[in-house]
Amino acid sequence: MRSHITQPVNSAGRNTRRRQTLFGFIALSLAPWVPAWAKGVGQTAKPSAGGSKRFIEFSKLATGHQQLDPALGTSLFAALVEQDRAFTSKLALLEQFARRRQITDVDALDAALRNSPLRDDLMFIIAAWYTGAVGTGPQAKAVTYGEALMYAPIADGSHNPGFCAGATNSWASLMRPPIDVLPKS
Amino acid sequence: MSTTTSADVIVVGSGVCGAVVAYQLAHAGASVLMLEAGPRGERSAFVQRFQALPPYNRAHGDFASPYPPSPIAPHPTYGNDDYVALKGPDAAAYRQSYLRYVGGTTWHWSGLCWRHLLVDFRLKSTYGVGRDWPIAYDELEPYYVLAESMLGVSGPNDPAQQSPAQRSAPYSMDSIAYGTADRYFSDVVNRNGYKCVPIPQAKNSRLFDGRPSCCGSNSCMPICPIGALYNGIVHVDKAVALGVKLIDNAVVYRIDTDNANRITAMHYFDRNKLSHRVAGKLFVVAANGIETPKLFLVAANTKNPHGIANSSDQVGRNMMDHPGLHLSFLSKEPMWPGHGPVQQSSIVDFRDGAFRSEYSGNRIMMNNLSMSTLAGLTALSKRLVGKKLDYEIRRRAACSVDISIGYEILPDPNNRLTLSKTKRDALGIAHPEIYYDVGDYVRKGAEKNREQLRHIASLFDATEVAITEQFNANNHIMGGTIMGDDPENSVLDRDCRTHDHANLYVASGGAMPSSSVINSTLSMVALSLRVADKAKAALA
Repeated sequence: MRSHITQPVNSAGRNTRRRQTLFGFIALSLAPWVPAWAKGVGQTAKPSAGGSKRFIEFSKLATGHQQLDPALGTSLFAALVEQDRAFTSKLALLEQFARRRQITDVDALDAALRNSPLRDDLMFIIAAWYTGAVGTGPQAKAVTYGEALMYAPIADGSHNPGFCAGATNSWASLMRPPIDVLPKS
Repeated sequence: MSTTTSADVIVVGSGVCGAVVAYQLAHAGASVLMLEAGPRGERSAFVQRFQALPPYNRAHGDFASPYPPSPIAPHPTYGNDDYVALKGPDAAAYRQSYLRYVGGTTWHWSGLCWRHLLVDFRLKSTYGVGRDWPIAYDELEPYYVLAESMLGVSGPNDPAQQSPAQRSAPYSMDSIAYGTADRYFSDVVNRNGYKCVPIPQAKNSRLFDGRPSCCGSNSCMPICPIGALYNGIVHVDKAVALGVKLIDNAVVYRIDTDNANRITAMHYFDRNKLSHRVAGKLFVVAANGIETPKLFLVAANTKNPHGIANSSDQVGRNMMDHPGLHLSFLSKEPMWPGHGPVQQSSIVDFRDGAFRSEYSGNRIMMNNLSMSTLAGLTALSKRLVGKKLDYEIRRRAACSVDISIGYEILPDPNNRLTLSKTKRDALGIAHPEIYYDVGDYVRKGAEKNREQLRHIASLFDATEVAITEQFNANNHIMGGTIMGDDPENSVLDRDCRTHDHANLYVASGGAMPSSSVINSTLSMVALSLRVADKAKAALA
């Protein structure tokens, strides 16, 4: 089933909230939305508030972004748990791996995980935050559009299609920012 | 139980062609009934569905999913859709995207409003290939002007920037300004001897016809969020305001004829498969380049056993599009595509030349679609993390270039739409099947073009240069109800009236006898406006 954005788009096509496309119905409905098969299974965990907080804390390390939106984190966590019944356990293993080695940045974590199957799980977490979706290809479950982290490093040179960029021809005077300087977040 | 409705004119299809015909006839005082197979949808719902797409779909040209098909009027969906069964050596190159919705496929179009060149109307006479049109450019030119003024076309008013420059009226609006990528692209190629010009397009560069001016959403395909891009719904609504009766979810499946082979009535199914009969003096079928020939074949009757308007056996033949290739590369310099409309400039040097006696011309156009989502997905696929991931996304979003090339296919009777013998829709109506071979004329043109493309890439110090191997569709459906002076080898006469039925017209790209290399919509609309004038005269 396709996800729908529930926020209104006003007549100018601009979203009225800074947070462009958090899919409210997912955020609202996923908290109690635990598949029947997950209940009572030992190695799984409900997307509890505590689990969500731990996910967001670990995501700061995984993404290198210290300012992560808690509501979006809750939605992504719920979607990841729904997709992979063992996700909470894998998250715990990743946390433990980083803590024991006192790893504090993602480059070091990635290097240390080179030969571990946990590296795939790290990539899933990064991809979820960067794409705003869980899963791959046309089957991915979209959770957000505008808040996906992949748009942050290009914020000074791009805008998200589907939303108005500005007045007609305002783009005529735009410069081409260099590729070797990331915008300040 | 069947009920009968009647009007002076029955228009089948509410896309841009049907809408402008209905509007013009209603404006002239005729009573008009417009039947649309699909449902009515709302812009806000299309926008929201687009924004909710998975990132992969946003990055890979999914313009269809915001428009879910009706259960009773299927249309192609994203991916390996099988509504239109495709066969032949280039089957995949005819995977068209079109909509059966009130307002039609211009809900998701790029809005490009090219005119054919004068010589395109005389292809056979000039180059010995293809077909001539039964009318000349001069006969269509007033309708090009009218179409441009009705749709609201912004374009270059400097003749040096026009293709063609033979125009009797200026564009309604000045061109929309280039974004960073089109500015850089056109500067580079023009400095190196190419002629890259602003593309005329049905997007407002100022307030026009009660609609706002472009806000640079860069989502003309699949949906302009504010209606600065012309959509067929504009003239649907104008026609309804003039008194045209519009019935949606009305799938025409049967056509009645009298002893003189005039059309007396059409029958449609509603969403409950109840049949209704509509009678009229004149009938105009504007049901899209695939659905129109399909309807004519489906509606075969005792007097017309091979299909309506098909005594020539040409209904469904000569199916055309612009077979396309894509050139992609990473430019050394950042270009940052994605500012302004999705397509803005095009190289027009190879639209025409003596070479057309041997191989196809081409149109080379930089896509100004934002590369940001594709850049993100590509960078993630490299399993990068941290700042390396951010820099790779940035490099790819800024430097990725996609160039779309279209070639001129010749009308070939073997490129044929027939009715599926095995697949039927929910109403029991056969699906269309299409055999498609782009032909040696296109293949040779594409081979010649590859050298041009490699040269263009070199101008940008490009890396990761790739030219696709398989031809792709461009959704410019033409030819299935081709026009001509000879009833033996054409479906429509010079007025787009069927040779077989004195009161049946077709308003569609299906009439076009040559494809040129440029988007077909403006020519389709011009032909449709000419149909409206002929119908007005016939009613008088």
